[in-house]
Amino acid sequence: MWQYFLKRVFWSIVTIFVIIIVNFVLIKLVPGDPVHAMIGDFPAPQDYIDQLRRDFGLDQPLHVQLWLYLGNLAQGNFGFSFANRQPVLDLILGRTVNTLILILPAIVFSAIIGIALSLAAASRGGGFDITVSAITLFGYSIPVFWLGQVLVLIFAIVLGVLPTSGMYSLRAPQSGFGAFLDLLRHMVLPLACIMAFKIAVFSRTARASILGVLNSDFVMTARAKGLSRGYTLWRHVLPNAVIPVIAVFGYQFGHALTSSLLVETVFAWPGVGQLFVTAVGQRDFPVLQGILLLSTILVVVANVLADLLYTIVDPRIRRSLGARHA
Amino acid sequence: MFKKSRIISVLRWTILGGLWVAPAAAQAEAAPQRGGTAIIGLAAEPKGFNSALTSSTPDTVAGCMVYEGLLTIDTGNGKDEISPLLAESWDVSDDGLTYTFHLRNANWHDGQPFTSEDVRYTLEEVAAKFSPMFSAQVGTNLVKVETPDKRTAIIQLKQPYPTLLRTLNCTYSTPILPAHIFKNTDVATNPATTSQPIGTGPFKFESWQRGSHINLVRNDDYWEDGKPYLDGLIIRAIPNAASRIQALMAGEIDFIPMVHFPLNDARMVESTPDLQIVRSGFAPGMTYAAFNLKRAPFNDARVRNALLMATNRQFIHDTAFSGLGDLGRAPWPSGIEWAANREVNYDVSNPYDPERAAALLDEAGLLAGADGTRFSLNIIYDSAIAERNQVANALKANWGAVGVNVTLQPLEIAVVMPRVFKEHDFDIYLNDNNSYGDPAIGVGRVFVTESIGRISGNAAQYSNPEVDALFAAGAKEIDPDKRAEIYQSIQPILVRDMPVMMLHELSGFDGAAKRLHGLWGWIGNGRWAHAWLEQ
Repeated sequence: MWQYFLKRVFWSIVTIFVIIIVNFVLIKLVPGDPVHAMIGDFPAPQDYIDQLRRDFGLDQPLHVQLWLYLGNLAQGNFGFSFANRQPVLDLILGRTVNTLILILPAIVFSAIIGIALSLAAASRGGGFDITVSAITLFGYSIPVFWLGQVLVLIFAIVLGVLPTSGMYSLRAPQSGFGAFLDLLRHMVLPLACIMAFKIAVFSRTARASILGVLNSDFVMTARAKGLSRGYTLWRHVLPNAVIPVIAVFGYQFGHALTSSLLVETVFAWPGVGQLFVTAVGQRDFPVLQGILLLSTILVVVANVLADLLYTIVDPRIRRSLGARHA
Repeated sequence: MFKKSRIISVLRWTILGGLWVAPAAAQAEAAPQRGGTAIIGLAAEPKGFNSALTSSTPDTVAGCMVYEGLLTIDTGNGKDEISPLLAESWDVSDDGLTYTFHLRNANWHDGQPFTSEDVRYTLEEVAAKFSPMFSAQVGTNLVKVETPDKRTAIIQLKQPYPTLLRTLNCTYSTPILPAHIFKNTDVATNPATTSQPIGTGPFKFESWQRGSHINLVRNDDYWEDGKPYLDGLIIRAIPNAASRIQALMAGEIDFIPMVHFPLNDARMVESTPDLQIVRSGFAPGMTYAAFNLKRAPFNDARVRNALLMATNRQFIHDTAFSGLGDLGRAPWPSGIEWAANREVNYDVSNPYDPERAAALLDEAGLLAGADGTRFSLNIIYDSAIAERNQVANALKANWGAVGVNVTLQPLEIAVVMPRVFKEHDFDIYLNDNNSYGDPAIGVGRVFVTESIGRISGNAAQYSNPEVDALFAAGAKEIDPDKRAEIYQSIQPILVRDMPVMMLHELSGFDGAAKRLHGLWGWIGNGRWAHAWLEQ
């Protein structure tokens, strides 16, 4: 089994390396000039434009830029942001914390609520099942951008009970527990937007899986032996049905950047998603490369961890891997 | 909990198009109150604080709260006057070649005294080399800056440049920088440019939460007694335009400056009881469409004239700009009154008349095909600006009505700039142009041959030696009457040749909370020292 994981880790590193090169080339192929985004709306002197190109290494041929980039990466240097005039790694890590504050609870709560809903729906069936399916489908289909604006309109503008955007109240800054409560208030609407989609993803995956398990012979046997419905669901159905949900869990972490792009833009949340959108507009290549690299690492690591979790949760996989590498 | 005013605002939002609300009342003339922190909402975070290196609005807004120019432009109450700032007064020699500035007794935020050496260093070693505006306008024309004593700076020019005073302000890319901090360093990467500015201005830098906001605090040692009134300023980045407006409506921010204030939401803001629209009084600008003169059929003046006649400028004014500003009627804004030729008027030369437009296109040989289409064109523009999207859609509808098939190409500014100005790969370029209050600064660049191939220069690639010579003569003529005559003589030529057509005229409008008072001039031009909040 360990052989299998070493192999997975090796191919993961190869994957990350290939993606680094592909990302680098793709970003450089995008039309647009970062220098023009930097200097504003008045014709700047050519000397100054040339100096900026030299400062940021943009005057070098593509292969030289790639070589320099890889060399810097090998030393843990992600580059220097043109627009923010800051080391890329500091910039991204600072923003990643803000994104995780939003994304982690969103994924965890969505998974819990999604599985609970699907368990209740699948076991009860009938009208409850249809209602849950309809609501989750609505959450899955609704554009985050639109939902965000409508929520702000209702809860911030009309009712005035929640803030429109940002992470903290700038008007009356709080400290200690007050700051924590203030953060929670700012999190409500962006969380609702992300969770509307993620609950649907977890619930629909879990529902399909639970229905499949419910129709299994061992479940019928358990019920025939006289085990209660609740006990059967909790002890026999859930552990078997949760395996595909783990895969979704891993995938959703990898999906964190995509989730944060729109929500952070609508709610002016100073996370990595907003940084990415801004960097695209400014053609801030080092920042784009850095975010894509970290996102790639996140996806690859999440998938490896999901595989590892599979083997822990599902003894069949563990045994089959053990047999193959015996 | 349910606030009636907010419900009304939301309802108005939903039925926005049909509403007209009376202009905001003039600001109350109550006695200024001290204290409070005002919050400014911008579409983007600044990249730094040094407006000598960029004319980008966020950098200018943040930078010019901390740094100051020698002068500013007071545009309060419809005025347009050069006013003292770091220079208390100035004298200009009769030949227009020597400008003597008598400097104010002020200190930098680190306690060092502000001196003439700071002026010399900034103008000679930074602005003349890097400043987008000063280098282009004055750059090689600057002989030297003399510093006979610590409170006197003398600018020597090779040729007269009567617009010099207008360029010497922070917002127009000429902040005065501390020589003791910048000298012998790389200006672009110096922390006083990128992250920790040290200026003479009314507010001092305190902290920067990257991605969120910048905190500025009152400069207790400010040279103007009793100012600023505010304890501090916060500059927030809210990239999404709708979210920015929502934050203003919810009272989370107090001010959105022009450029970042989406004008198509202006009437909604004005109809919200606690908010107002403030006329920036910034130098008049124009929204224009430039023709690619190197491409057929735009190389035919009849086609250009026909497209102007097919354009309903009144509709554009009423919808995209919420009726704010004025219709475009001449090659540059009529707001620069002394340079406006009153006989030049699109309403007379090219009135909205689709039938005449169609006839002119027929005359140019562009006959409608079986499907009614005469020819196709693309309009390229910066997608980030809401009103420009609306203008582009209006042009598509207007020109479609006379058989011109229009494809819209809304793109990011980083793509638009090189494609239009360097590669010249476009048919029509839709853009805003800031006049900076003088044709020599902001207008000439759109028309002169020298600006072809330069970013934010001459997109149409128009080249007319007569026009070049007139703009050059106007820039150095020191007799105001003769200057006016020169510029007025250019306008009929530009209407005849029509390299660009002016669609709309605007001098800038900000969205603000009514409790914010005392604003004058434009962002960064000094008025924030006078701003105060009603507690």
